[in-house]
Amino acid sequence: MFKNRLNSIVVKLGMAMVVLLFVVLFPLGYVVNQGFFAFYYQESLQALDRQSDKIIHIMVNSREMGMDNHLTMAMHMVDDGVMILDSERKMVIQKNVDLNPRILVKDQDWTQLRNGNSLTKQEGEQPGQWIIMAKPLILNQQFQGVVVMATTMDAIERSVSQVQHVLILSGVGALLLALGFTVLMVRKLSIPMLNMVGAAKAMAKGDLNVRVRVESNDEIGSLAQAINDLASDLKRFEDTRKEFFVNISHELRTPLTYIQGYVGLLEERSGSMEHIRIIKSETRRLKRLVDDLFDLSQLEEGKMALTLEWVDLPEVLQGALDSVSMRMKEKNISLVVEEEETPLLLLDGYRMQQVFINLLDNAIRYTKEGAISVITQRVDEEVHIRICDTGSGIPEEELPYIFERFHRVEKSRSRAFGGTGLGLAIVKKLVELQGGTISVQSKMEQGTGFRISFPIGKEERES
Amino acid sequence: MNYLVWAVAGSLIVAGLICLSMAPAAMADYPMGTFIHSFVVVCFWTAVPLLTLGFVYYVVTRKKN
Repeated sequence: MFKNRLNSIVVKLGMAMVVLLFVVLFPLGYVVNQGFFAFYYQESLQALDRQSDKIIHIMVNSREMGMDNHLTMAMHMVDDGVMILDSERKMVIQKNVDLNPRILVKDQDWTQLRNGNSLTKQEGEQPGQWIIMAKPLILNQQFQGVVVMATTMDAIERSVSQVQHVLILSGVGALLLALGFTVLMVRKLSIPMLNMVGAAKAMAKGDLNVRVRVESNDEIGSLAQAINDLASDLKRFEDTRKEFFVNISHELRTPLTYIQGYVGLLEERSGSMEHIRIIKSETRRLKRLVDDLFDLSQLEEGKMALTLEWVDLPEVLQGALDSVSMRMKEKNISLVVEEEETPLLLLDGYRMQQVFINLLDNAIRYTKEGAISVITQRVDEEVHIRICDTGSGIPEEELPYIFERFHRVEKSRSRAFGGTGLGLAIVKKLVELQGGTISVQSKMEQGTGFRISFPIGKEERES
Repeated sequence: MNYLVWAVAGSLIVAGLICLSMAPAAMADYPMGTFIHSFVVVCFWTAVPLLTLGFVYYVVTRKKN
């Protein structure tokens, strides 16, 4: 349970935010700390510089005026360490510094000072390290000695330490504040995702009526919408599948019942041609159903092998028309054929005939009276075949789904007309498998028209 | 969002504001006065970006609608 909670997106996002905060806060803290240290160091150096200048000024003036006691007074005003050395590096005055002058001002430093240059350096080891500023005392162009100002690093470190405490407190405060807002933000971000997880789990358990609330137009909103669409599609597919099983059971049972009944009759008395005709018809119907199922399963598994050859489409179409001509005559439907000269296409003739028979069969089935027109024409670099009827038409909202397997327009009427709900799915797959496209247009009570298009390739053009 | 999450988030935010307010008070001569003053100022500066964001969101949403 605890492990699952640790593995949740809320915890991961929260941890990522905290790590990001640390990534920002640690370097920032280091830089601020170093900045303060440098600032206090420079301030201390400047203070030593100012104080040493004052002492030199007092020494020069008091010597000229013969008032050495002024120097002693000035020394009392200085809080930092002071050491005044004569021209032989012997100590004249010392205050708050208990270091050996030769350690404080080494030989090379002394040479530098004798040449009239100032000196700044750190001496000793931490803790108790000194910052030293030494300046030469030059009177009447002659080197008279050195004023050495010294202060310990402790003062700087105390100030920096105080600042460090403030920084740490501020950092902890900022971290807690950011954590608080992170918890709210991460929770707000994760709620839609958790809802989607719940919806997906419900769908997996079979509840296809579940929907996710779409609260925004961003990526999460799109994902929620996609889940809703998926649930709708699955619901429709599930409904169609259930419908199909009801239909297929009925379709399989009806011919079997007929066959069983008439075989029984044939057993009882001598067979009549009418009984045999009915048995033959129902057997054909049953076979067609099983053939459709077989074809569709082959197409969906990609196992259907095509025999491609140079095909004259009008010729194939004529073959299909011959197959359905009897039924058209029975229903008194007239046929209009318009053919343009089209090039040969590399297709499977047998499967194309199956496509045309399926479409013509549908047209005949749903046309009570009127005509079926079959038009073949070349448009630009494509061959178009149109099969239009003047039948009952398909409702507009059903059009996007008619090529889906098991889908039937107006379920009850379809059963009365026959058909398995697989024909158009097979047609679409066969056409697409051969590089073509199929589209449909329909108006209620005016009729339906299917258009199959095949591109004319370079080889076809040359042929 | 359940109450536990609100409680945790609220506690963290209040603790953060207190820590931030204590920082200047730690160096001050009158810690309590400085703390209260800092607390008000820190709350103000925390609210400013939130209010700005809320205002921008409101304006953008109203324009879209």
